[in-house]
Amino acid sequence: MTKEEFTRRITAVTGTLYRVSCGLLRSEADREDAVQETILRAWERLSGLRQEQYFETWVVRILINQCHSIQRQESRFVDIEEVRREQEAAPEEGRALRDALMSLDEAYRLPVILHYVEGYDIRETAAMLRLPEGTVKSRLHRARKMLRSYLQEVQEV
Amino acid sequence: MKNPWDDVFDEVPASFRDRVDRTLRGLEDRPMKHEHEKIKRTVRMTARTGLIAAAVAVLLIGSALAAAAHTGFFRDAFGDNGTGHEAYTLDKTDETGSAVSQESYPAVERVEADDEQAQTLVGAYVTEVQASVTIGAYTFTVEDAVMDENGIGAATVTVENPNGFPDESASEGYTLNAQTGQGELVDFTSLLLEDDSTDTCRRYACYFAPFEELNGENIRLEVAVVTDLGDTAEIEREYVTIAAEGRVPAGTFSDGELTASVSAVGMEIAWPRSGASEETDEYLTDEIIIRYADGSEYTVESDEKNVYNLALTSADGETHTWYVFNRLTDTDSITEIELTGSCAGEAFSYTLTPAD
Repeated sequence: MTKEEFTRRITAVTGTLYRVSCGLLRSEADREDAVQETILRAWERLSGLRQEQYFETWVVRILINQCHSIQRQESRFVDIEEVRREQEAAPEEGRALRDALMSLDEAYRLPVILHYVEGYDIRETAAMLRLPEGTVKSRLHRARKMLRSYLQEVQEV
Repeated sequence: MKNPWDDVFDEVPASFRDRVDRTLRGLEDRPMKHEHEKIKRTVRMTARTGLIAAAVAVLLIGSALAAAAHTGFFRDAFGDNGTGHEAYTLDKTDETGSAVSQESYPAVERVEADDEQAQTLVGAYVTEVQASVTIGAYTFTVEDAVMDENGIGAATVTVENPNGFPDESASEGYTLNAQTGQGELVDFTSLLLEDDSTDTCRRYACYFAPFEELNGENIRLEVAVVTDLGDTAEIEREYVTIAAEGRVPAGTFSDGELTASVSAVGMEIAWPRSGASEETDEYLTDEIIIRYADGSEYTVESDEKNVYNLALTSADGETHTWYVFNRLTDTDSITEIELTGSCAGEAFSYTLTPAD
């Protein structure tokens, strides 16, 4: 894969990388750091990608690792003002569903983002998360239940 | 039809796109391993009083247990090794430090294993598999297993490595999974039996349930050693067939519309419709209660009571749901099964009685 092709493919999945990092990291700065490290590592280890058709899965996997690395390394301090800016910028229509999604534990949130938001099928989602496909399917089932319960409570309020 | 998920996330911020573009422009012409310099992140010099530690939610369900050491397959798979905790809640705070919601975790009731009853209910159907496979330094052994007519079951598995087990963040690990003999999906979960585990040997109680009717097929356990967990992975897989010699029989309960097939280890529900349907039309239960002839009852799950006495739940999303109980159930003593929930926004309530 040439540098130009690599650049094109990374640019094409920028949205996916952003949304997945949103599911794992609260801080905008952390997300930017994570995507930078992801791109650099992917470029460095490109020769290890045996099948270019799995490029997207492979890059998302690297990103998830980087996000987890940041979670482990840094204490959970975030900038209040940055969070307030993000909350004000969130689209009104999707806010309830977003709040419901972010209320889930990461184990359930990430499969939902990959499968429902990004549209990856069960097999791709399982590959990205290094989980058995059955586990992904059951977590999606449970996540749907928790989301429904959360949204019902919001409606009642 | 508009996808409701389209509006969940913001547009990609310009700063994020800029960072991607800058990083791509800064790449060497050829990929090469080197110590790369991080672009300095913007340091946020906010006042110390403005920094708030975000709450860390700790998921405890299925994690380490304080169970006494025990022997026997019944105790391991369906006895008091269960998580056995009361329902509890954790305050989830936002970054301002204000509690904005409570995350609740349901109670899982611990039940003392009755060896005599367990022997009566499933003793004749426990298969001593005692099959091992070796991948590198790892030896995987399926010890005992039990499966019912519907493909719902449990097994005990040990994983040994004389070199010990790498840390979770290391670049090597192993996975346990299950599938049908034809390689089709099977839902699977494993519970580490900490009190029976050592630095070089880990013991698991595993549970499985199908995603579609098995029609007599066997289940096989897939074990894998994953090396180089970084950007690429090399995976070596082996399989051990759990050919349960006899299947735990299941009784039929029905109200004429809904049918449940219940064994000592689990339950299969056949929802009252056929054919493909929208994923949003999935039947989701709020409460399942099993009532016995002696007047007692077993709450399988209840959103209202915040109880979840199941090892595993799987569903095909259309016509069937499978439940693996966290204790053995005497189906001959069941007088009634009550299920309530909703499907496509409409509530349902079924009371099933023995069909025989």
